[in-house]
Amino acid sequence: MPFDLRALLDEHAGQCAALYGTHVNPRFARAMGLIGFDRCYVRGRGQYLWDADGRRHLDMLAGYGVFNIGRHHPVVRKALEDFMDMELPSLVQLDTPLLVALAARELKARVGLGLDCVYFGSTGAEANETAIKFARRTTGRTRILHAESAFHGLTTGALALNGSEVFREGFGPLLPGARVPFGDAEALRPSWRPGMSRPSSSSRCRARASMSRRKAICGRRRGCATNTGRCSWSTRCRPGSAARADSSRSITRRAWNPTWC
Amino acid sequence: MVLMSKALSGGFIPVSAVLMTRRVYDSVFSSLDRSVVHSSTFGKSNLAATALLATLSVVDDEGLAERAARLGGRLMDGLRAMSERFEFMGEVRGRGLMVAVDFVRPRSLKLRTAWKMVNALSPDLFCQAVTMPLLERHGILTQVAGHGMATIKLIPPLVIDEGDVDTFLGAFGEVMEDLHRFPGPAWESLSRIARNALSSGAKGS
Repeated sequence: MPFDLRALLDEHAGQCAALYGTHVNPRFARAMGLIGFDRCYVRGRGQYLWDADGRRHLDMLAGYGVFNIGRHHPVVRKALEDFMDMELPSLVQLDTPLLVALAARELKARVGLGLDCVYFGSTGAEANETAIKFARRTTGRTRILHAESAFHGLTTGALALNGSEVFREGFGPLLPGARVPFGDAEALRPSWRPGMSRPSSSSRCRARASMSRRKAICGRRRGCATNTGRCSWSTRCRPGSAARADSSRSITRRAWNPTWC
Repeated sequence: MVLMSKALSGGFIPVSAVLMTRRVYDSVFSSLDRSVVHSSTFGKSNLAATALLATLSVVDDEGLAERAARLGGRLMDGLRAMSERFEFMGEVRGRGLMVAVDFVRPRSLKLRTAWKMVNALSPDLFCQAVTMPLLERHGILTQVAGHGMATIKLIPPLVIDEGDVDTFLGAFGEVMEDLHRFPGPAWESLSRIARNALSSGAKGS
């Protein structure tokens, strides 16, 4: 019998939390249940989600910000349908793919800043891993600054630039670096040590943690810092608060805050 | 270097991009032998590139940057107007439709008692007292900004409209009204959930 998505969904209607809890992440499923977020969404379009009872929800989270244009935008959907209808090749690997080149050209045109080359990956964490490697290779230095409350992903390189102990605990030792207050150029100075990529000046080089959802590592000139920006909503961070929490509270916090973008 | 990901492909296909100077590029891919020293199996995806190109066209054609600025302003203005009425509300920060609402220790003794009670359990528990009724009663999905933070983040799709913003503001105002009644049903629910969480945490379940 050929694969039938609709039949599969119908067969397991209303079982999303139970099956996710059984087969993927039981504690996350439990956390969602505790706060009443364990509902089964069955449809998404634009800024709305619908649950199994047909109730419409306004999505103010947008999948941690991936749905800027809304879910299932008809223009992107049509483009992907065209791609499949035309049976275009992808991931040949030993080729120089046209659409990838055009995508790079479009990004360069929008960003400017004399950035000539584009590396493509799959996730933001992978982009950060790339930047870490490239910065080390370019500067010959190893230590990287990150901001308090920074979040750049949870792979081991990106984790070294994470400002929350709750994420780092138990996964060390991580890459060498130092933590600095966000948005404070002067506070960077004591952090410059041998082996550290050194900011050239606050005016020439600063972390770009812009609300436009770009994260940046500055590389505008030789000797420039690899100082990553952080999620901009956390500018009122509380350094060390997670580390100070006792173990039972940490467990409690994780019970309802298991993951963040 | 400039790093991008998240919304780059409209949410259909994971894709990220690192833009770099020629000098950075040359230091890594310094010879033909080294032209693949850093790569990814899915880095040459024409399918992802298609989604990316189509997404950029939508952002341009629908003026989403301008829309985000306009509606973000409406959202933040509405929230800031409320913050004068509600003691728990602190600063409202953001740019475009990426907005944070800070919650702070209230001035009045009664509400301060409530604030202390939830913060003794967890610094971000108060935020759940906001996000839970927003979802349960008003059908609005929001999230706490981070561990140990008394801040919620609002990052809706940029295609929301004025009606959505006003719906959110109305719902948020109702939730705030409830939380400014202590003791009250909102606090009882929160205490129950906190107790359940503590119990679950202790059991490791």
